[in-house]
Amino acid sequence: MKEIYNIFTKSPFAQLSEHMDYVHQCVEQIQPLMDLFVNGEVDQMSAAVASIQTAENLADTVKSKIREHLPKSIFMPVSREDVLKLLHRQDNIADHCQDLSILISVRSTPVLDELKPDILSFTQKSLEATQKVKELSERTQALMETSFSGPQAEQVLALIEEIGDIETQTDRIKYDLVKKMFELESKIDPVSVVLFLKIFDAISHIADSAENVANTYRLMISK
Amino acid sequence: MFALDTPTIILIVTGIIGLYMAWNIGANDVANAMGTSVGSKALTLKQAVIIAGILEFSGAVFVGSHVADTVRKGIIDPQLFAADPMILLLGMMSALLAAAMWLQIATYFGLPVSTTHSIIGAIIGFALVSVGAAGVDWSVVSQIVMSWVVSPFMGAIIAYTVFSWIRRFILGSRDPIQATLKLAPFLVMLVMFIMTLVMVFKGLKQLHLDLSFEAAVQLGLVIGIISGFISRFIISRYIKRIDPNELKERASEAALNHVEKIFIYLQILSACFVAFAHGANDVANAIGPMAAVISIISTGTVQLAVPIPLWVLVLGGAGIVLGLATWGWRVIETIGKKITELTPTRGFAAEFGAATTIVIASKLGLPISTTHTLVGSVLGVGMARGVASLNLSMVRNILLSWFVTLPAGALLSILSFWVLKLVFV
Repeated sequence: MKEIYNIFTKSPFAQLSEHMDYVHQCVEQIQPLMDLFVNGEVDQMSAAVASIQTAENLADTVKSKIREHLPKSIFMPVSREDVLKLLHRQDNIADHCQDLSILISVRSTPVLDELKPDILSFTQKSLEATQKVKELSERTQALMETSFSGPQAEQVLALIEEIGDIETQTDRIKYDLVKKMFELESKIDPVSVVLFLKIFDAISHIADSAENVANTYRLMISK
Repeated sequence: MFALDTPTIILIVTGIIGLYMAWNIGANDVANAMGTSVGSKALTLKQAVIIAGILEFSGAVFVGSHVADTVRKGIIDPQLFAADPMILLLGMMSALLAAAMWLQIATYFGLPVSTTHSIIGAIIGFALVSVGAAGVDWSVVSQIVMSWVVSPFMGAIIAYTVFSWIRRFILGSRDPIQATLKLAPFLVMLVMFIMTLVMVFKGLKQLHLDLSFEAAVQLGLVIGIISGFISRFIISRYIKRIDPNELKERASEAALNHVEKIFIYLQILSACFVAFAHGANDVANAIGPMAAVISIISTGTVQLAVPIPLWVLVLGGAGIVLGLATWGWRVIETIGKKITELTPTRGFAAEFGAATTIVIASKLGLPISTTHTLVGSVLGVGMARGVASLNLSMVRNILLSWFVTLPAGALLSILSFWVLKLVFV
């Protein structure tokens, strides 16, 4: 009879939140890195860039572990595809953080004083979305308790809406920022313009992937 | 020819084999009922062993006899052995021995086999070598096999319904703690009602306490309602002790944790229900063949209907308790550590589904597998989105065990039969 308890396997939700922890370690480095970037202190960045690299690698390890333990024969309250999608999208956040860290550390790019506060608030908004996603991930356990229904699910749905709003706001800030940059284009060298555009894209990608993660949760709840 | 000069020896040997079988059942099977409660720290290991012992024993003694009839007489027609009762006697002994051996082998290899399947396989094996395929009542066999398929489904459906209900009205409510106070007593009532009904309605035949159906329902209702009120009182006392600061938000995780804590007690109740149902269902595997042997020895002939002596039921119950005490605690301990995934609300739903199915099948005289019914029930909870992850390859193992256990039991039974024939004839 004791053999029947082999029917239980390791919960993928616990591992998903472990993965999220590593993703968040990448996210946490972005704000200090951007502070260094706008102040032109590229030479101070190496430690933070390296720690993003490490955390991203660890996240990848957890990702492979989850995929290994998720054979087709596993039965979960949410579809296996949704779990894999969630994992992929969480991982995207870390990837975009890494991209951003490389873009800002690869070249010493002078930042105009007029643009500094806008760039920082743009980054902050984008990171706010990832902060909320972390909260979402922490709530998964409570969702599991109520089998993805009831007031817990409603709270999570509200959080998902909020993340969507934040993402919309980052897009608006980005549009204004890019516009402002082109107004000042005579003061910026063309190479820097290209790089700035790439950096802004990377920052908005972080918010985009956060929204994608949130939407995967929505799919899980509305199943 | 008929070795009545050695009846005492045969009686003792049968008693030992029967006890061995019951010991095996107690050592391996019982743990499932109590493992969850030990795992959630609701019971200590010692308490679990004692409670399981008492309930297995009462299940075996009060409800056990119905299934024994089907196992013993249903598959083969005893009249075929009227001319030579010794063959039937040895056959039943070898079936018991084979089933017990197979159980131990399977336990060693970690296969989820059923005691019921082992004994049925063994009886079929003996029938094949003694009277040939024609002597086996295949319609009864197919009916039994059908019940194996049906019972996990039924367990799953009941567990699914109960858990969906708990999820919708308790876990998913605006105020889970108040909902528990309001609704949990009804669950307690339901469990007590079914248990009483089963025990009283025909169940207490052994004590000659036959009540009519109406009387049994009434008694069940009375006991159920009383238990419901007692449980409400206990739950409200528990709720009063909760720190109100902890519950500023009514549908918070803290509230859900308290609900789970309250359900620990309901889970103990459902675990008792499983132990009781298991005693009722599985003890027959050990005592059915034993009763046949004893009746042949005492009368010297094969009779159509023999009452199972109370002391045989007691012996079966005692064997289970013995197995539980000597070996079962280890299994309970292992399981208890392993299943933190099955929270009390889930555990309650799964155990309720399994126990209800087993008890109903037991009343209908169908020998079903406790193991597989419980697996079905856990899957039922899983289908209600209640379990984080289940390994469905377990279902494949169960199907495999259906295909392996019957032939293995049959083969071992044939071997034992030849050996016993050499010894006693």
